[in-house]
Amino acid sequence: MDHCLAIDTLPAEVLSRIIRFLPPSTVYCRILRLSRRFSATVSSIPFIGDTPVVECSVTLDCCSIHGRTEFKKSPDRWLPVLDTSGTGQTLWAVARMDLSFWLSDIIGEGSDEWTVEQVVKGRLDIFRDGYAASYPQWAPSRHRVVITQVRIYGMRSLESVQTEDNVRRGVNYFMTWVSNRQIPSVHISEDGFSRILEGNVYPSVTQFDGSAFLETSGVPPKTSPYYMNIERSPCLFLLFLFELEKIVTTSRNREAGKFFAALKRIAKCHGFHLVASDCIVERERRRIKEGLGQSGL
Amino acid sequence: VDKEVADRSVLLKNMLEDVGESDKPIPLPNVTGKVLKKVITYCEHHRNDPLPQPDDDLDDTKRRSDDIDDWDADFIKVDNDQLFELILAANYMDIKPLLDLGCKTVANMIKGKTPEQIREMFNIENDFTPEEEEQIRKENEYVSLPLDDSMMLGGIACLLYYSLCIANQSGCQHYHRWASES
Repeated sequence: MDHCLAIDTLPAEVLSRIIRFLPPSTVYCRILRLSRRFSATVSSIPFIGDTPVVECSVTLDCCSIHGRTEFKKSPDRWLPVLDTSGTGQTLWAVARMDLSFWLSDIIGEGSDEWTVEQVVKGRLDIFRDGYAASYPQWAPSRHRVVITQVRIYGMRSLESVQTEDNVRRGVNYFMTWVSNRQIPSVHISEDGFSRILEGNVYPSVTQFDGSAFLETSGVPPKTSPYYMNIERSPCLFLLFLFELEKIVTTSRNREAGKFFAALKRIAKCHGFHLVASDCIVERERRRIKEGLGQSGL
Repeated sequence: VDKEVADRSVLLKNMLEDVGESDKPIPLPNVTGKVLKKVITYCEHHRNDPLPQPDDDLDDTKRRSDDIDDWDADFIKVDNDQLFELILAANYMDIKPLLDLGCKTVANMIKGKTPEQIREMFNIENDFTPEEEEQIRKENEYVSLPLDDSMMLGGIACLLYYSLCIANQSGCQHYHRWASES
């Protein structure tokens, strides 16, 4: 092995270029640990992974909470994500870049201006929930996300996002969005996977969207079966519905049943079959293995 | 070298445009003869390729590192020293496809290796203090979380049980009783 010329001698722009050909997990698990120079180079890269920087402009409607965010990059790959989290995690996930490419339409029932403003200004250094605070490396400030267009409009958020009406409205909107675009399939699954993987239990129904799921699952996006599916099937929408258990633990089990039934009806109205099973995780994994990633339910 | 070949380098192309028709040699102080020869071989082979566009960097399909064709793969089979020299030359001469080829090759060499193996392969000195290393490890625990098999199996078992409970709404209470007991 030749050791005359070290990779460290390459200029920063070349190192950055090399790093950009690496998957995020490699960058964060390995490159970051190599040396101070590599660490500094990683920190200087505006995004890590296979996706380009999202550039959008911001128009904030002060009285709007119900958010819809468009990321115009590659229209044929736009994906909607249902988000009723209210914790700002979606925007935060968007800022993570490895997901942003896929997010085009975010319905934020609970997103608030504070979070939006902070993200927009790229200085979100205080996170509102424990999980986010645990992983400051995803902070937009670190990734230097350039958000130049985020359109927020809609209605002022209700105090709680866990109402059936809110979710019904959100799902309806989502399904309409999907239907209008003749999306071939929608996968809907509850998200109980994350809690089991990481032992995370959240105090309220906050993980109501694909992005939040990926945020909290403890599964690196690149290895998540969901993510792989997104990658393989740009037109496949993954909608992760609520963690039923969270509702149950907040003594709302009766509502949970109604809730889920309502979602099923809504989905059916739009011609989609809602699968009430997390087994989809395993099924999808198998499907991917068998190279049938595109098929619907 | 044909102008068509030289034009693969943006640096040379600009210089040639500046000096116009001339027989005078163009100095390339940062590139050795051996490396230049290799660069010319590359440019000659790719003389008819479309020139890269400025916004190519935004195209995520171009961020793959597994799309190296056979000729390029063979061309870039060199020792690390020469590989870095080629990368430096491509960077200096502004030959983006060659630069990308070099960078992809390095990226491919990195993939699947531990930090120690990467350091060894590329002669990188670990200049972190143990405390700093620990800090970095902690900060990035999220991405390094292994999907432990037993955890996965346990998770899947839970999910199976859980979905059965959902199928039978009244079973939710059983699930939680079961979950809290186990």
